[in-house]
Amino acid sequence: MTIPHAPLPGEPQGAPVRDRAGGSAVAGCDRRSVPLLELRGITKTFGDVVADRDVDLTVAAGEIHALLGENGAGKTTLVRVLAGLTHADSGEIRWHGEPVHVGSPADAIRLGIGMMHQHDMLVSSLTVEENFELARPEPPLALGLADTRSRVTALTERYGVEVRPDARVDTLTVGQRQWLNLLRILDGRAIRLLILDEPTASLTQSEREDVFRTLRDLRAGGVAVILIVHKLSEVFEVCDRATVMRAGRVVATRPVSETSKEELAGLMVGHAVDTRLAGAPTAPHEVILTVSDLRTVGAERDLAGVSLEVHGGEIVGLAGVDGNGQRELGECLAGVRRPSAGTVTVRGADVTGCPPTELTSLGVARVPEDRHEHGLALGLRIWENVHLGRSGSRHLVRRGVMDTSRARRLAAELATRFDVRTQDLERPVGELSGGNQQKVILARELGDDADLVIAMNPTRGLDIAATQFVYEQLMAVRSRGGGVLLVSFDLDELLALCDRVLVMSGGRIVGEVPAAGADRTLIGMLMGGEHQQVSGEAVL
Amino acid sequence: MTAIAGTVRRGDAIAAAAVRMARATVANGLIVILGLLVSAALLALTGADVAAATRALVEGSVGSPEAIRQSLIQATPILIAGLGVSFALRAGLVNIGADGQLYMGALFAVIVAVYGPPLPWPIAPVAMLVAATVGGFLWGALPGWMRARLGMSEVITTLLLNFVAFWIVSWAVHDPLHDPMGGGYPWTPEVPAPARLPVIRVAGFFLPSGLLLGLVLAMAISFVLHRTHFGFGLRVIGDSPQAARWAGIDVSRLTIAALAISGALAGIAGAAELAGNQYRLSDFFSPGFGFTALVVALVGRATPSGTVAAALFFGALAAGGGSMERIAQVPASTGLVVQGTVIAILVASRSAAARSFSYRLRRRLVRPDVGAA
Amino acid sequence: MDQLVTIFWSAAFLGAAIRLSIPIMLAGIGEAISERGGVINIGLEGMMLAGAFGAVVGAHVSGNPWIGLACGMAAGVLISLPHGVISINLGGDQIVSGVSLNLVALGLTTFLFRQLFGITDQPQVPGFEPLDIPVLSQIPVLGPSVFSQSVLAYVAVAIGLVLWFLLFRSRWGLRWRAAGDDPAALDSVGVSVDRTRWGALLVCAALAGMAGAAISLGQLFTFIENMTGGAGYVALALVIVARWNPLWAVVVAVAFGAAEAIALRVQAVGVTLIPYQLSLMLPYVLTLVVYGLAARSGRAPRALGKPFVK
Repeated sequence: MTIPHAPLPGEPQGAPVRDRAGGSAVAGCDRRSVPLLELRGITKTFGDVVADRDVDLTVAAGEIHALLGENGAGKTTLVRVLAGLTHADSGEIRWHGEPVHVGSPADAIRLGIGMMHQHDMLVSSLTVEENFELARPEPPLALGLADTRSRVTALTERYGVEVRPDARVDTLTVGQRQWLNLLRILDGRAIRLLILDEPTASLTQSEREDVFRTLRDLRAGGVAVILIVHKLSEVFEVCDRATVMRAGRVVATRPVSETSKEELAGLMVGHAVDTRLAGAPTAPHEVILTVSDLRTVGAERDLAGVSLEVHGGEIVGLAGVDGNGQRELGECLAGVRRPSAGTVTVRGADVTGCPPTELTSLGVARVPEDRHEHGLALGLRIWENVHLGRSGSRHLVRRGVMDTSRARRLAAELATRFDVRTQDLERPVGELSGGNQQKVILARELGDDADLVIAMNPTRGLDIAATQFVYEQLMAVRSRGGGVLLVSFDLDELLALCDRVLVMSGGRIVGEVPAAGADRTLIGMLMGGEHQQVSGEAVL
Repeated sequence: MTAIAGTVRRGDAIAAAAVRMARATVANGLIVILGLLVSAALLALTGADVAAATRALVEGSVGSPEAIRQSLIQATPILIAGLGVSFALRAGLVNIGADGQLYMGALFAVIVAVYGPPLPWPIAPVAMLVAATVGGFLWGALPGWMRARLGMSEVITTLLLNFVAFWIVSWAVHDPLHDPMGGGYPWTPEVPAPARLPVIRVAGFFLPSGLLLGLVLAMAISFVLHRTHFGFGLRVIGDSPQAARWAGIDVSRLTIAALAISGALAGIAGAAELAGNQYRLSDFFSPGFGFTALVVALVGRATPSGTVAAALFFGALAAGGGSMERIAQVPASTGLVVQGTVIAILVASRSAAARSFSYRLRRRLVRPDVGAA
Repeated sequence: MDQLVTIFWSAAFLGAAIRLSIPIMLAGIGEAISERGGVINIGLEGMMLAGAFGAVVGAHVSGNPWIGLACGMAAGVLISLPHGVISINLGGDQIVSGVSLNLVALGLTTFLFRQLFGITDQPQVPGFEPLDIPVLSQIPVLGPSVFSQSVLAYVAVAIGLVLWFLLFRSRWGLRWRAAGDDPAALDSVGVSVDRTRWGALLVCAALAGMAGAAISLGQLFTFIENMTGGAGYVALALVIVARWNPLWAVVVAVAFGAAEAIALRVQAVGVTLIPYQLSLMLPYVLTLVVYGLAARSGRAPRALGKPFVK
């Protein structure tokens, strides 16, 4: 998927696609004084949580506007309001200066607002052309697949996306699907405002550059772009202005030319952050976890022979683009997926294919990636979740009967130790905030002083304080001589926390980099699957 | 936010739980009343005399000691089978096959009672109950196995197994177990006197001993669900099968066990009805006990205490429905309409839309200033 | 062996197989559409029963089976409306809602029938008599079985073809499939998931009503309490075996009909080896067996039974 130059996107009716000079002429020059989009006082609450509080935002035609902020700052909710996917409690949307009602995605589409979601919005059981067909507004009876096929072919060829129109979407890679999403937005519609919610999170370096090139072309054509990003470097790479949000409010809007990464970072987090958290390298301990030549069959991304070691007293990071086998490796190590070949040993004991309960008794803690689905039984009480899968090993069960008063007492102790903030451990754990839910998991998994921790994206969706708490707990495991395998999509997190970072791509480990003073470009290249070129430098 | 977990006293938690339970009871009571009103309106539309029907309903369910006895007898099988359906629901399994399991339990029970060696009281009823437990257990374990090992939906399999069980019983009562002296009806001989479950007289009221058995079973289930490792596992798989898998809980085994026990309870319900009320097994033995059991379990929110309350109510409704048909000429089938309407209102009231509506309503009523914040 | 041939390769057997398959065929096609759209109908049985009742009332009043058929379809649609509101608009539990539909339908039809006709009067209504197709009905064995069915048989097969085409070759079908597989994706392109699911459900309800009419007007020419007798549940299992495909639903329905016909043949020919109750059990056992074989390989629509809440 490398293209030397992405030519101009679609030629839909009146789509404002010219070169930079011609762009302003199309983007409504008579309304030059009025911005394309104005949000005034948008407020949106979910239950007791205020996602957006009185947000104002102005976006002009022909600009790429970055929306920055930590997880939970309210960016996604704001753009979902704009795309008609959710309704604001109060506030006003002005389009060309006129108040408009965006009650549904159909309204948004009619205005020319297109949104590319964090997770792609293609129906995976349908083919590529059917997905394009689905988005067409014509009356529903006839299916113009032949016409659609030729348009899809034209678009994919122009952008160098090697996809057959009749391929089922679930056979495609994450990057291809993201591309198709973008192409579908550009297909057949006069797009005026394009919203992208973290489009680059699961793309390779070259795919990302292609997307940015397309965005620049759209800007040249007078299209406004709102780009939600997490990487500050991307703001400077492609954006004109940046709006920073924090805790549901807009903190500041800055022209990119007049700001710096440091300033934006400071605005985002509210206080200065020190990057490198890991202490001095500890003396090498004995090996705790050994994985050798692990393979799977029938997974979304099969492991193709993974070998690694984790020693006591170290945090080993596992970097990689989502969907390169990290999840499958984590599942194998957590005992919920049976590898087809290879071995896993913990302190010399072969635990390949062992059930989770056995791993627990060997002191292996697992922090699953999906808190809600895998980590907790949301309808059960908080104290019950503290013992989920561990009631046996904590001697709370005698002849099948649980000592519930002891279990409650123990849970209360652990909850206090791990700073779970709640009035009442009898409440369902689903009522807790994300951070407190994660603390319940940590209390359960780390409460017995586990000496090996498999943590998969443990800070995803957490606020700063909760993230910090998770870091402290993982560091504590390290300093008491335990080993941690930390799977994360956040390179900053890995480099701040780990002693060394392994990079995964295509179901295998493609390189290893010491975290201190790591070369990000090198890791990025490895993550992008370009390990052939760099394998000489990487320590394997 | 400020109080840390460990400092909260146990008593507060129990008080809070009591408040929650009371609130749930009131809410469900309102739903049932609403269901009755909607059904009454439906009847009125078709020209029935609603006032007379209501009078007959009340008279026939709680109007006299005999009426109360009838209500309790009607409540017995739906209570015990309802406990079974509740039990499966707690493990996230919808057992629509309680009727079939009840028939199989009754079949096993009648074989032991009528064709086994003559046994004295109280061994005879115990033997019947044990046989019924086995029959229901096997008939429940089958869909459990189908779900756990073959990936078949228990909703469909239990539905279909109802018919299989029914035709087996129908054949049995027509042919091998048929009572030649039974006046030509397709039914078995009567359960002998020592095997019957007596009605106990307490303070002027008649309590069927099957109902007492149901109450004991309700307490036992409550203990199993909340105080045993097995029950904990069941509730985890009911809440989140994925979380259970990650916690190392054997989802397949517990699925089979949950449906088997659910079926066993329905089987016991069949034996209780056989030994406490009808004494003969026939192919018109169950007027849809299994479906009423599902209603009872849902209205009772799958808790043992809620199921007891709901079973008593629907037992009274069944007894009253009989007198409604006799006195007010309103067919008893309207009882089905009431049941269906109650469930429809119940499921609507627990839907996502209703929850978010009641949340907004509560917020507006309790804290009118929040919108301005 | 000869006896077996005379049982199975006979016009009577084949004709019965097809005749018995019509109700589950229609209901199965409808349920396939509805489930593709993400709505499961445990209440299929109740919709059929309402359809059977409505058809008899309509035919009795008008004296015309076609008006009866229309009334049956309307009754099926009418009784499915609360289920639609609960499971689509309110996002409630679809299975429980379906159970309530069955209870209401059984209670209401029994009650209304007695109100309208009393306990003793059993109305005979005009129904759909077998229709000999010229020339084709003269073919030995196949003629009197396949080509002398009631008009509903041909209608059912035609509906299967049309809905197969709609489902896989029209944008409606595309939307139905998207609503059942990934409603969020459908919503994001500006198509209302609720409206799409309502469309699928109403198609199903109308076909279930027609299926009920096929029992009351195509087989018995009257209404009897609970006359569907579990055909709706068989149709639910049939959909899984047919992998949510209307054309396969036609084929599987005929196979299921054959199983039922075997039961009746065994009874009629007087094979004393198997009691007739057990042969009546056979269709349900076969359904379970075939479903068991198909369960692992088939893939249900991913959002089946799941409410779509924004």
